[in-house]
Amino acid sequence: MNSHPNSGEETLTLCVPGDLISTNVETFRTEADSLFGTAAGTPPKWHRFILDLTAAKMVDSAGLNLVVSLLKRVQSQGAKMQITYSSPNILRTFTFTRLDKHVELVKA
Amino acid sequence: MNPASRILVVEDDPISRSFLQFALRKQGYDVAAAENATDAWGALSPADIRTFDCVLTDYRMPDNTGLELLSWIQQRDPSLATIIITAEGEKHLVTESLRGGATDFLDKPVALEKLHSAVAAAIRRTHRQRHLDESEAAVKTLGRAQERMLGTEPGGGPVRVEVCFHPKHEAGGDFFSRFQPTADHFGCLLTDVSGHDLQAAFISAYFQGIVRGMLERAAPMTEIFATFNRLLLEEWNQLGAASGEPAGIKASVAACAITIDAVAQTATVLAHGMPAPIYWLPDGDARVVGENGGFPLGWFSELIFQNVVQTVAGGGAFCLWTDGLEQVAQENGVSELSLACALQAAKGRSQRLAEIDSAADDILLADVWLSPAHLMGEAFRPLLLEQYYGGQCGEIDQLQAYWRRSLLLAMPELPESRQHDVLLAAREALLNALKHGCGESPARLASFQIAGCSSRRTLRVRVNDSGPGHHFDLAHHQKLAAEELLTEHRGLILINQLSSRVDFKRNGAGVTMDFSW
Repeated sequence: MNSHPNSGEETLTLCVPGDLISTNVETFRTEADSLFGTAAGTPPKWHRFILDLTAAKMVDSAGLNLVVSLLKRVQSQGAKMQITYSSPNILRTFTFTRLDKHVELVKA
Repeated sequence: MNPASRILVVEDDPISRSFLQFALRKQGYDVAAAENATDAWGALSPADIRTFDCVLTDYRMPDNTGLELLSWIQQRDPSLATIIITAEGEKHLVTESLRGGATDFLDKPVALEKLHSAVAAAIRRTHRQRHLDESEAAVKTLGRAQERMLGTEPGGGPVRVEVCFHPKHEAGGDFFSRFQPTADHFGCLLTDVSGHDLQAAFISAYFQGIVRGMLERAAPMTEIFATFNRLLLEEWNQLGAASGEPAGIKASVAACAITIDAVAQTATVLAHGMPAPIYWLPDGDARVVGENGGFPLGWFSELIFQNVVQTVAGGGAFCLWTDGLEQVAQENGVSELSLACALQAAKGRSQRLAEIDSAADDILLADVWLSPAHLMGEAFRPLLLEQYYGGQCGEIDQLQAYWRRSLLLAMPELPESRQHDVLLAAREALLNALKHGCGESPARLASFQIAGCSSRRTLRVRVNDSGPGHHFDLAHHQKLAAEELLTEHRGLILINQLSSRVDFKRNGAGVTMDFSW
């Protein structure tokens, strides 16, 4: 399992072990659904969602669309979203699509 | 026994030395003697070593051992057979001696019968090895001559040809000829004789002579192909039939000829059993001219000639190769065009590409440039020229890995960040073409090209599909995606932002992207 709720730190983390691209994006959408479902509550017990893209070297348009849908879901819960990355190409992708205005980008 | 054979006996004991000299001279050998290894080194001087056919040496001598003398000989003339004589208690040396290259060993006291048979066998080995060495040197000379001759014939008109030849062995069966039958017509012929051994090299030379003669008589290329075919069927493939050998296909020739008409500004391509040539314009837009494969000359008496005419008014270049290049490209998981580019670049640096070390066949590659020399350096060269079916969306990761390997081979100077951008934009463009342009239909095709120009430090990607495209306002979508997080057209937005220049045609059914660094 690459994803886990961490109630102690009030964060949810979804870890992607490689690129986030059209051929695997549905797997992570399902995993995110499961993660959010497990952590559901009223009010939600988590305030931060971390998408761990440390192992990713590429995020394509399908991957970006998943990030956007996760972001909307997180924002609807009144929570914040953070993306951790290591490849400078990932940072560039989020910067020129201006998603860096909506998500906190943290270099691993 | 060869009475002229010369033997060096190395033995410190005078009685044993005299016995060996006597016994061998009695057999008709020319025998020289040395008292120890130092004397032997003098006798085996660089000028004299190849006059000896065998060395017979004692193992135990005062200055050096027989094994040390053997090692010294091996460094100077590995073809000279050496026999080591060992005494009682030195049997453990036998294995070491043989491993060190000794031909044989004899026990003391030496039995005459064993001495004669061991010396005779050693001399035969020396002669056989030297004959092999001479044959190898002759083949190497032939190979060098082949390489020098490739594409150097007079004629060929105002085209510049870059030929790259890598025979599997020292000489091979591929050859390339240039010709100019009339003032306004010129061109080239690339052929691949089946096999990659000396016979193939011989047949290759035979046909090269025929081509030369027929071209000087201004014979049309179809007549040359027909003559090849007839000679292969009626002569080469019947050779040996008279002596009872079964008739059959012993030799075949795959051939591709390109004839340029300078007035009409067309190129006529005629190919049999050869990969179809690639023609590209200086902007890198490439196409396959004709069809790949078919049967080579020498198989069937009936030939169907299919001349394919290509307009060449825009200049540009042709690239053609033998199937040896295709095999290496396939083994390395790269495109033929990227391998061709890397081979020509390596040749320009006087280097050999590691990828071809395991080649199972000869490789002959030729670039035929029609553009003026001063424009060639600024021209784009195709690196990938592919067609993908609408149903291949699920293979996009494998396709992307194939593009990556090809780009790394052909353009090693491409920075990693730019490689990412090219691959990501190309992925988005192709997925868009396969999903929307081809409707994911296995019956509809999208074309995909990547070309590169090292001097401009630019890669150019072209993706085209047969769909109608659809109207979109890129600037508007880009703004909505960034500010309101709308997901539509995010692939096109990526393409626009990753590339240095982008040109959408036919409502996005065709896209050309440049990536500079």
